[in-house]
Amino acid sequence: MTALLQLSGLTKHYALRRGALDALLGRPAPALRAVDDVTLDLGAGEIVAIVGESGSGKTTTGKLVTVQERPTAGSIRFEGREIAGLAGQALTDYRRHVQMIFQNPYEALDPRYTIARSVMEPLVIHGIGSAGEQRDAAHAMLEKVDLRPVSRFADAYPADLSGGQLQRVAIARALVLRPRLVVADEPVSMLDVSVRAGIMNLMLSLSGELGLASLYITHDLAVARAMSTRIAVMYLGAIVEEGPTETLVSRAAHPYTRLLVGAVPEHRPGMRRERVRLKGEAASLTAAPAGCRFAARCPRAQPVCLDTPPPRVAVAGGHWSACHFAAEVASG
Amino acid sequence: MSALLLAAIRSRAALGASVAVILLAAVLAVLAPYLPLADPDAMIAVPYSPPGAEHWLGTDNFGRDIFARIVWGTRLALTVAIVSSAIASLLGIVMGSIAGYFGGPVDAVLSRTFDVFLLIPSFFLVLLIVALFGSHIGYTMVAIALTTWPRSARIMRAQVLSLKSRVYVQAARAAGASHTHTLVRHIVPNGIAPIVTDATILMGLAILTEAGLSFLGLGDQNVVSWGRMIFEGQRQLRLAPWMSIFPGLSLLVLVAAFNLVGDGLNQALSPQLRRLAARATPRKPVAAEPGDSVTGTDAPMLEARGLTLAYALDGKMLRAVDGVSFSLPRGGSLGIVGESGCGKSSLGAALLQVMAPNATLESGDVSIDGRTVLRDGRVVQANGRDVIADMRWTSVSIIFQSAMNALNPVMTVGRQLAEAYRLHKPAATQAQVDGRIAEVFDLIGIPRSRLPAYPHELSGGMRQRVMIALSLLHSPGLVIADEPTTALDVLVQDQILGEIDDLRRRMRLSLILISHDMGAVAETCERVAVMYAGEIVEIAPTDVIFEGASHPYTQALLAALPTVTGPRRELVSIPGETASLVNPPAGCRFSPRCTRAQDVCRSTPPPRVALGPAHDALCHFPGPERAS
Repeated sequence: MTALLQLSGLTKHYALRRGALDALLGRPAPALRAVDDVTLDLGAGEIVAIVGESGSGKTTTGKLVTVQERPTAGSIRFEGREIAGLAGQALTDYRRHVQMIFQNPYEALDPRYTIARSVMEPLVIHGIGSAGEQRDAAHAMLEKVDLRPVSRFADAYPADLSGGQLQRVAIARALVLRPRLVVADEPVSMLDVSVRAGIMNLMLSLSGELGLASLYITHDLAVARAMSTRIAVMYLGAIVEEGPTETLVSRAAHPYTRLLVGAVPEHRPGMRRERVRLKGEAASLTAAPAGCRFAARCPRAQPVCLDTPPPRVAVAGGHWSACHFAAEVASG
Repeated sequence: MSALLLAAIRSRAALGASVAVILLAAVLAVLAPYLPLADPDAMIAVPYSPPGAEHWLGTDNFGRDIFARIVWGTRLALTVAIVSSAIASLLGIVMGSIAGYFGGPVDAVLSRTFDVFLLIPSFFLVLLIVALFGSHIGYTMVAIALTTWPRSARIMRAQVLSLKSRVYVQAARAAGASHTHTLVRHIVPNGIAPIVTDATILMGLAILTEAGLSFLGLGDQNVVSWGRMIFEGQRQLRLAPWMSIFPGLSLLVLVAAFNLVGDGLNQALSPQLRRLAARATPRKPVAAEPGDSVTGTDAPMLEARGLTLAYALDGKMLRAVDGVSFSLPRGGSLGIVGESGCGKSSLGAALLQVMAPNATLESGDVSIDGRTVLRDGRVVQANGRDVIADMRWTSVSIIFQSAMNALNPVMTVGRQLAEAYRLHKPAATQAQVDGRIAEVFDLIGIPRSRLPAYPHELSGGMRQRVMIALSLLHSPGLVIADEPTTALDVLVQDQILGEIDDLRRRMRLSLILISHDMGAVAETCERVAVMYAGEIVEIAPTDVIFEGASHPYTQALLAALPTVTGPRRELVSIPGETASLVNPPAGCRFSPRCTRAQDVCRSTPPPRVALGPAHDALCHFPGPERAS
């Protein structure tokens, strides 16, 4: 079976400014390695979460998949077809099938458009159906995202809606083209807890109903756990661990994942856990690391970690970790 | 937009008068040929007649009626204003949009072009064009437009630069929209408001420029222009002052009217300016009374009773904090959790009396460290100074969420700490200052080598640590931390919360942690207060909140929270939207969203029910969650 989406060796470097002296000496400009050799498969109807801190490259990965950015190297295959070089009509066609949901619902809709017009817009762009059909489709979609009664919302403006309602509209707009894949970049992180669960449940039920695959990008491991069947953890541009959600959360095989799980603030009845003690903060990478990219901060780092890039170690079926000591880490 | 305009007009008489002046000018200009006026070019009357019954504003040296000429001059002035500013705005919108949207080399070339045009002295260019092509009014208008369009272009470019990163623009692109579609449908319509505002200023400018040209004798000789009238009049200034005074006045009034309308539009369209204008009337302070100061360690660190804070907003009072009471023992830690808009940050500001100018404390008593700082909603003063002013930073300090905004970007962190220290201890020697700063840096784990760093040179976590160091500088007994780790990554957040927790225990600090994050509060605080719509709906020891909450809102919040360590379960969402503070629901404010609500909940405000030691809830039916 071919996966719906296959990323292999996906890489995105951003050229940084170089100093006048470097330019004179002909030294190459340093590059920010935002995404570095990412390989990931996504099956039809599957929800995979990409978890990482700021600067991990998770958002850039989403932008590459939705062709808002072009990769420096590597390939993106959608239903077996290469996407990286698409342009013109072929790109427009691709965009019909792959939609995006953004983080900030308050800026997601044109303030001058009515809700119905915003939801209709993708149909207008792709010239699908008559004006009447577009309107009916938009209304049906608003119904699906539980904005009822639709008549109350259809002619309202974004300023009249709350954050949770706006995000529902944004979801309706993303799904009105009946895409096969949705890239959701932190869709609930700006929402309050009380509306967050509603949006998460809505996305889960719509995915099931429409057979939709999702790439769910988040910094929040608890949200990722609730939303996904598989999690890929990114650190400084690379996936350091990937596995089935429950396995990864309960038996992480990478020290970074372990720290992430441990750092989630939660009420843990009857226990006081150790707080994270960690050197430094995640910087950005401008050169290929000699060894493991987490070695400088890793509490378990050994000499080998500093000079040898870690291999992908399979821990169990579908669960691997880029760590020299993956087996030891996994066993606690 | 028209509603905003109306509001702006109502609120400002000068603006209303200006709009009236422009409307009057427009009516005169349109109706000039039909009005029973003398022919403005007919030289039939007695020259140099002063203003009188026959010629209201007198006649000029050729015996022409000045009133008629001024009315006809309005026609020219308005035509010039509208046509030149329209050409300039249109050119500016097109070029500015292209420069801003496509960026890169396109922007570089166009931006330099704007700069070049701005560098040309406008009068010089106009003179050149008039000299080359003659003094037809059409050329004059084009010339004026050519010298003013880069203004609009620059404004538009800036607008587009900010708009093109908006999510809805990205969303349209991701949906497959073309550049033209995105630009024409989304960016330009949302970006032209300031251009419209600026166009009114341009109109005033255009009228002045035309008048100036005509004054120099370079205007179109075939039309009546105020500028030429002034020019002709100034030679007869002693003999017939009315010849230049009346057209001069007309010019002044019309240009001023355009500028005032521009200002007014700007005010109406910019919410920030409107908010600046809103102010609450401050309440009179009261003097401290003998019983206001309790020494000794018996008094709680903080005691608030019935604290109410309201914002004046569009003529309404919005109660963000409504009758909040709690007390915090010495060395205790209290978490205040709630969703956005529940009033938790306003509560922090109210305790320290550092509120926005449109906020007022309506009622309540607050005492900190045994001293009353607020009595019955009035600021307590001693020796003519607010008591709280002397206590801020020495007895109670605050850590803000955004360290980048709270720190001065052009001053090293070391200097900022030194200044903050000297503010309260002006007599301190340099050695004392340096010693104390080194101490607090060590305390919070910042290497002393970072003292000469500027805020932007530090990572987010380090900046937040600097803020914490700043708050500890004068060893306060109480620290209020308002979302201190919200902008930080998970790992850094955990370290910093751990450090705050450590410090509190080591130094017997009292801590109020304001946060939207139940988890963060759970591990750092001994007690938790849950706020909803301006009220504390439940307050209890942390374990009780998380394992035996009694208020339906607390229970619902917990059921909506995904977990990493607990068993994976389905999340339960809370129906409806957060209660509005402008128009809070009658009865219990949570009742429209509450699954347990009865009729009484919708009609009667709930009582505060004591449920256990240090545990109470604001609910008609408190109790454990019912199985449903």
